Amino acid sequence: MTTAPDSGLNLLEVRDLKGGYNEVQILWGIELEVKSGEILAIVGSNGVGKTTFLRMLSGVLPCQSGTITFEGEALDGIGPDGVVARGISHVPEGRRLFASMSVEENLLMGAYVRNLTDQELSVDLDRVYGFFPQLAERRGQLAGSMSGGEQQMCAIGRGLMARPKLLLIDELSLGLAPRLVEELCGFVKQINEEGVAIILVEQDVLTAFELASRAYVFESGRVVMAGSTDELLENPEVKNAYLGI
Amino acid sequence: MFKPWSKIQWFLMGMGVFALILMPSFSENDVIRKWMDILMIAILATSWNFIGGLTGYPSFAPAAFFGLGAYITAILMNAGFNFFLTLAIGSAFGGVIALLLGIPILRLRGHYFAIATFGVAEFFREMADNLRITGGGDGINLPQIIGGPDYFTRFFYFSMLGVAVLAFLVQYFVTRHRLGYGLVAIRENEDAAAMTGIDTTKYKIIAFVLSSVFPAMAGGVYAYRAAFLEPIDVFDILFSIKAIVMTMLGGVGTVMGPLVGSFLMEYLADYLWSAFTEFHSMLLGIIIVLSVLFLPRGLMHLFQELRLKGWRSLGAILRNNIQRFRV
Repeated sequence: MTTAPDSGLNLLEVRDLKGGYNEVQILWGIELEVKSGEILAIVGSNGVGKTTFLRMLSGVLPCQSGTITFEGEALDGIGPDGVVARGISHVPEGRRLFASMSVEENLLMGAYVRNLTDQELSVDLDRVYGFFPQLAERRGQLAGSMSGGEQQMCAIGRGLMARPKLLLIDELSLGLAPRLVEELCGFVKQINEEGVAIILVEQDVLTAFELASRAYVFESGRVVMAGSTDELLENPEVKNAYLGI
Repeated sequence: MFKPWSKIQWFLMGMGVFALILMPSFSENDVIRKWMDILMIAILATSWNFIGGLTGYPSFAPAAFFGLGAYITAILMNAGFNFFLTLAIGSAFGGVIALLLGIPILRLRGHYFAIATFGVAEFFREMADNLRITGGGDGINLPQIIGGPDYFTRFFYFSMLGVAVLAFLVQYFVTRHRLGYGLVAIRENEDAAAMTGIDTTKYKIIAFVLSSVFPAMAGGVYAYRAAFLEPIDVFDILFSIKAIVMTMLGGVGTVMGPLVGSFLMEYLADYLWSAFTEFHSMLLGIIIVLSVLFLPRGLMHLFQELRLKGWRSLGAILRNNIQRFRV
């Protein structure tokens, strides 16, 4: 995706976001924007607050201070269900499927807040099966009994069933074989081409930069660098710290 | 996960209930009493299944709400209220108390939640022991039911049967409704459930309320039948433990599991008691340990697996289950 800088309205704006778990503050004033239709990567090593940031976006974790604005409206105190209803859905780290439910039931859970008729649901299911034909073959199988890659597809599919405008994907590549990661990247691109903006949190910087047009680098709960992925790839600090070149 | 029942399943269930309705017409009072106890345990087990089985929150609160319902019926009947009205008031009151208690304790997870619910039963027992309105440790008398033993045995039996059928139907519809899926999602992964937009706190409270109203009703029936209540009798933690054990043996998170578990275990316990009077408790203990080892998810899950894989795989399934313990 190519988006000219500062063109149009930001889909998501995060200003001076602080927060963490009880007394342990993890995020120290995050500033970030997402433009509609783009893929944005957040990279950084373990424990810098990437997952915490996503959890605060999706409302699972309350913020201490700062503002999150989505489509011009604040996302304060509306809870995770409110956030999903507004159009942000979260594909959590480690998939977290509902293991004793079938693939299709997991997908249906993704549409839980939308209260659709069976007909509308089957339209949305077909859309997800269109992205992931493997899931269609396994729709009746228990989600917990699938391979890691299929589980990741199911988790993304579950996220899509909420018809999000912004999809948060936490660690797309975690624990998966390179060939599978490549395949999943293809799916993510396809989803993005349908107009869904994506925030991709990744430890695998190369994979993330390949997909995303812009990226933020997190360090100790702060944004230390931001810019287009092409620029960042040339940055000596990034090369040194994250690409091992 | 939960498929709607077929006509055959409903027919069989209907036959079962019909048999339970006809049974008192040609049975002795002691058989009817036995079945009344089974139904009572089945109510407690079915109720526990809402919070413990479907939602995955191990509650020890059934005894608390059983006792609460029993005392409400006792107090209100002494004030001249109609028996059935006291059941309705008792269960409504139990539901409200569960709602108020659920707000703080459902923030806890796992063992901490279990301990907190354990505390609830103890707290209620202490209250009943010390309040004037409950008669304190001396207990409380209820008005005697008018009529002979044949009449009142049947009266209480049918009251218990009514509550059991109600509890079962509510459970059936909850599990086939989106609410049930929401509860199971919480059990499987509470974080992911929240991320799909389920208001987890609200759902857990609903499950806790549902798991409290029916024990309160059963407690009311128990109270009128016993005609005399002592705190230690009705706030007995054994009620909670039985509810849990029966559900675990029958099949956690299935609608039939709590019923099957209650029927089988109560009959088994009875049989062992009459056949091996000296060491029936030990035998029952051994059977419970063995079934936990071989059937960790209960009988209903075994049936489901057998239906999927065929009866020949019985040995393989049991071996598989036991192997999980070989580290």
